[in-house]
Amino acid sequence: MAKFSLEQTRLFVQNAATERNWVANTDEAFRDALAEGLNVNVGRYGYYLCPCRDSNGSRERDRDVVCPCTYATDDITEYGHCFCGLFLSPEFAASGNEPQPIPERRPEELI
Amino acid sequence: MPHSEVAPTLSNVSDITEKLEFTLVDGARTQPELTVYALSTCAFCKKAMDFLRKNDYRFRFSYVDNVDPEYKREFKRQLSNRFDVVVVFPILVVNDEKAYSGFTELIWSRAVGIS
Repeated sequence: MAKFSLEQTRLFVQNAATERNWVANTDEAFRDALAEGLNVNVGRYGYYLCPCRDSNGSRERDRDVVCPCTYATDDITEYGHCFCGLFLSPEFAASGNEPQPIPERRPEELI
Repeated sequence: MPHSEVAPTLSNVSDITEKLEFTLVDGARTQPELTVYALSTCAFCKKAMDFLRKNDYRFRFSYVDNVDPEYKREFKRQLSNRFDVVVVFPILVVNDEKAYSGFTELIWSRAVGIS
Protein backbone atom coordinates (compact mmCIF):
# COMPACT_ATOMS: atom_id res chain seq x y z
CA MET A 1 0.00 0.00 0.00
CA ALA A 2 1.08 3.54 -0.69
CA LYS A 3 2.71 5.17 2.27
CA PHE A 4 2.79 8.91 2.47
CA SER A 5 3.93 11.10 5.25
CA LEU A 6 1.36 13.31 6.94
CA GLU A 7 3.19 16.27 5.45
CA GLN A 8 2.72 14.83 1.94
CA THR A 9 -0.96 14.34 2.64
CA ARG A 10 -1.29 17.91 3.89
CA LEU A 11 0.31 19.02 0.64
CA PHE A 12 -2.12 16.85 -1.34
CA VAL A 13 -5.01 18.61 0.40
CA GLN A 14 -3.58 22.03 -0.31
CA ASN A 15 -2.89 21.22 -3.97
CA ALA A 16 -6.31 19.64 -4.50
CA ALA A 17 -7.91 22.82 -3.18
CA THR A 18 -5.72 25.20 -5.16
CA GLU A 19 -6.21 23.33 -8.45
CA ARG A 20 -9.99 23.66 -8.16
CA ASN A 21 -10.17 27.16 -6.78
CA TRP A 22 -11.37 25.84 -3.44
CA VAL A 23 -10.02 26.67 -0.02
CA ALA A 24 -8.82 24.02 2.41
CA ASN A 25 -10.66 24.43 5.70
CA THR A 26 -8.94 27.19 7.62
CA ASP A 27 -9.69 25.59 11.01
CA GLU A 28 -6.31 23.97 11.45
CA ALA A 29 -7.39 21.35 14.00
CA PHE A 30 -10.38 20.24 11.92
CA ARG A 31 -8.37 20.26 8.67
CA ASP A 32 -5.55 18.33 10.26
CA ALA A 33 -7.92 15.73 11.69
CA LEU A 34 -9.14 15.13 8.14
CA ALA A 35 -5.60 15.09 6.73
CA GLU A 36 -4.70 12.48 9.34
CA GLY A 37 -7.76 10.47 8.32
CA LEU A 38 -6.75 10.67 4.67
CA ASN A 39 -3.26 9.62 5.62
CA VAL A 40 -4.58 6.57 7.47
CA ASN A 41 -6.73 5.68 4.46
CA VAL A 42 -3.96 5.97 1.88
CA GLY A 43 -1.82 3.70 4.05
CA ARG A 44 -4.70 1.29 4.51
CA TYR A 45 -6.21 1.17 1.01
CA GLY A 46 -3.58 2.70 -1.26
CA TYR A 47 -5.74 5.64 -2.26
CA TYR A 48 -7.12 8.71 -0.60
CA LEU A 49 -10.51 7.37 0.41
CA CYS A 50 -12.72 10.14 1.77
CA PRO A 51 -12.15 10.06 5.54
CA CYS A 52 -15.87 10.54 6.17
CA ARG A 53 -16.98 7.56 4.10
CA ASP A 54 -16.52 3.88 4.72
CA SER A 55 -14.73 1.72 2.17
CA ASN A 56 -16.66 -0.78 0.09
CA GLY A 57 -13.53 -2.90 -0.13
CA SER A 58 -11.88 -1.99 -3.42
CA ARG A 59 -10.71 1.00 -5.41
CA GLU A 60 -13.27 0.19 -8.09
CA ARG A 61 -16.16 0.25 -5.61
CA ASP A 62 -14.78 3.31 -3.83
CA ARG A 63 -13.90 5.30 -6.91
CA ASP A 64 -16.67 7.89 -6.44
CA VAL A 65 -15.42 8.65 -2.92
CA VAL A 66 -11.72 8.98 -3.61
CA CYS A 67 -10.81 12.47 -2.41
CA PRO A 68 -11.79 14.91 -3.79
CA CYS A 69 -14.96 12.89 -4.24
CA THR A 70 -17.34 12.93 -7.20
CA TYR A 71 -19.87 14.83 -5.11
CA ALA A 72 -17.57 17.60 -3.85
CA THR A 73 -18.23 20.10 -6.64
CA ASP A 74 -22.02 19.89 -6.26
CA ASP A 75 -21.80 20.04 -2.46
CA ILE A 76 -19.47 23.03 -2.54
CA THR A 77 -21.80 24.78 -4.98
CA GLU A 78 -24.89 24.05 -2.88
CA TYR A 79 -23.58 24.16 0.70
CA GLY A 80 -20.26 25.97 0.39
CA HIS A 81 -18.24 22.94 1.46
CA CYS A 82 -17.74 19.26 0.71
CA PHE A 83 -19.33 16.42 2.70
CA CYS A 84 -16.34 16.27 5.06
CA GLY A 85 -15.92 20.01 5.45
CA LEU A 86 -12.39 19.75 4.12
CA PHE A 87 -12.83 21.87 1.00
CA LEU A 88 -14.68 25.17 1.01
CA SER A 89 -15.78 27.59 -1.64
CA PRO A 90 -13.87 30.89 -1.41
CA GLU A 91 -17.14 32.63 -0.49
CA PHE A 92 -17.88 30.18 2.32
CA ALA A 93 -14.31 30.49 3.60
CA ALA A 94 -14.62 34.29 3.63
CA SER A 95 -17.90 34.08 5.57
CA GLY A 96 -16.12 32.62 8.60
CA ASN A 97 -18.93 30.09 9.03
CA GLU A 98 -18.17 26.63 10.29
CA PRO A 99 -19.02 23.68 8.00
CA GLN A 100 -22.03 21.74 9.22
CA PRO A 101 -22.96 18.16 8.39
CA ILE A 102 -24.76 18.06 5.06
CA PRO A 103 -26.93 15.40 3.42
CA GLU A 104 -25.11 12.48 1.83
CA ARG A 105 -25.30 12.89 -1.93
CA ARG A 106 -23.85 9.44 -2.60
CA PRO A 107 -26.60 7.07 -3.79
CA GLU A 108 -27.82 4.80 -1.01
CA GLU A 109 -27.05 1.66 -3.01
CA LEU A 110 -23.37 2.62 -2.99
CA ILE A 111 -23.20 3.22 0.75
CA MET B 1 -34.98 -35.79 0.51
CA PRO B 2 -31.22 -35.53 1.03
CA HIS B 3 -30.19 -33.65 4.07
CA SER B 4 -28.24 -30.54 3.26
CA GLU B 5 -26.40 -28.55 5.79
CA VAL B 6 -26.69 -24.81 5.58
CA ALA B 7 -23.62 -23.02 6.76
CA PRO B 8 -24.42 -20.35 9.31
CA THR B 9 -24.23 -16.91 7.80
CA LEU B 10 -23.82 -13.54 9.39
CA SER B 11 -27.50 -12.90 8.84
CA ASN B 12 -28.16 -15.58 11.48
CA VAL B 13 -26.30 -13.60 14.06
CA SER B 14 -28.86 -12.18 16.42
CA ASP B 15 -26.59 -9.62 18.00
CA ILE B 16 -25.33 -7.48 15.20
CA THR B 17 -22.67 -5.92 17.36
CA GLU B 18 -21.14 -9.24 18.35
CA LYS B 19 -17.85 -8.80 16.54
CA LEU B 20 -17.33 -5.13 17.21
CA GLU B 21 -14.92 -3.78 19.77
CA PHE B 22 -16.29 -1.04 21.97
CA THR B 23 -14.59 1.61 24.03
CA LEU B 24 -16.46 2.99 27.02
CA VAL B 25 -16.25 6.70 27.74
CA ASP B 26 -17.31 7.48 31.26
CA GLY B 27 -19.53 10.38 32.20
CA ALA B 28 -21.82 11.49 34.99
CA ARG B 29 -24.91 11.28 32.79
CA THR B 30 -25.62 7.59 32.40
CA GLN B 31 -29.07 7.83 30.84
CA PRO B 32 -30.09 7.33 28.14
CA GLU B 33 -27.82 4.49 27.04
CA LEU B 34 -25.75 5.76 24.15
CA THR B 35 -23.77 3.95 21.49
CA VAL B 36 -21.87 5.66 18.72
CA TYR B 37 -20.74 3.93 15.54
CA ALA B 38 -18.01 5.99 13.94
CA LEU B 39 -15.10 6.04 11.54
CA SER B 40 -11.69 6.54 13.09
CA THR B 41 -10.79 8.87 10.22
CA CYS B 42 -13.80 11.18 10.28
CA ALA B 43 -13.64 14.69 11.78
CA PHE B 44 -17.40 14.99 12.30
CA CYS B 45 -17.27 11.70 14.22
CA LYS B 46 -14.64 13.19 16.53
CA LYS B 47 -16.71 16.33 16.88
CA ALA B 48 -19.81 14.29 17.73
CA MET B 49 -18.04 12.34 20.45
CA ASP B 50 -16.47 15.54 21.81
CA PHE B 51 -20.01 16.87 22.09
CA LEU B 52 -21.03 13.89 24.24
CA ARG B 53 -17.88 14.21 26.36
CA LYS B 54 -18.37 17.94 26.82
CA ASN B 55 -21.90 17.28 28.05
CA ASP B 56 -20.65 14.60 30.43
CA TYR B 57 -22.51 11.65 28.91
CA ARG B 58 -21.38 8.11 29.38
CA PHE B 59 -21.32 6.33 26.04
CA ARG B 60 -19.62 3.52 24.19
CA PHE B 61 -18.25 3.76 20.70
CA SER B 62 -16.91 1.50 18.02
CA TYR B 63 -14.81 2.36 14.98
CA VAL B 64 -16.52 0.47 12.21
CA ASP B 65 -13.76 1.06 9.66
CA ASN B 66 -11.44 -1.16 11.69
CA VAL B 67 -13.41 -4.40 11.28
CA ASP B 68 -13.39 -7.18 8.72
CA PRO B 69 -15.01 -5.95 5.45
CA GLU B 70 -17.37 -8.92 5.06
CA TYR B 71 -18.68 -8.60 8.59
CA LYS B 72 -18.87 -4.85 8.22
CA ARG B 73 -21.14 -5.08 5.17
CA GLU B 74 -23.53 -7.33 7.04
CA PHE B 75 -23.37 -5.20 10.15
CA LYS B 76 -24.23 -2.07 8.17
CA ARG B 77 -27.08 -3.83 6.39
CA GLN B 78 -28.57 -5.03 9.66
CA LEU B 79 -28.07 -1.68 11.36
CA SER B 80 -29.86 0.03 8.50
CA ASN B 81 -32.75 -2.45 8.57
CA ARG B 82 -33.10 -2.51 12.32
CA PHE B 83 -33.19 1.23 12.82
CA ASP B 84 -34.36 2.33 9.39
CA VAL B 85 -31.40 4.66 8.88
CA VAL B 86 -29.04 5.41 6.04
CA VAL B 87 -25.62 4.40 7.25
CA VAL B 88 -23.80 7.72 7.35
CA PHE B 89 -21.28 8.10 10.15
CA PRO B 90 -21.38 8.90 12.98
CA ILE B 91 -24.50 7.02 14.02
CA LEU B 92 -25.95 7.53 17.48
CA VAL B 93 -28.09 4.75 18.93
CA VAL B 94 -30.22 5.71 21.93
CA ASN B 95 -31.41 3.01 24.33
CA ASP B 96 -30.98 0.47 21.55
CA GLU B 97 -34.26 1.77 20.18
CA LYS B 98 -33.65 4.70 17.91
CA ALA B 99 -30.74 5.72 15.71
CA TYR B 100 -29.62 9.05 14.31
CA SER B 101 -27.44 9.14 11.24
CA GLY B 102 -24.81 11.90 10.93
CA PHE B 103 -23.95 14.49 13.56
CA THR B 104 -26.14 17.53 13.90
CA GLU B 105 -25.74 19.09 17.32
CA LEU B 106 -29.36 20.16 17.62
CA ILE B 107 -30.68 16.71 16.73
CA TRP B 108 -28.23 14.93 19.00
CA SER B 109 -29.05 17.36 21.84
CA ARG B 110 -32.71 16.43 21.61
CA ALA B 111 -31.89 12.74 21.23
CA VAL B 112 -29.87 12.61 24.46
CA GLY B 113 -32.28 14.81 26.39
CA ILE B 114 -30.58 18.20 26.46
CA SER B 115 -33.42 20.68 26.39
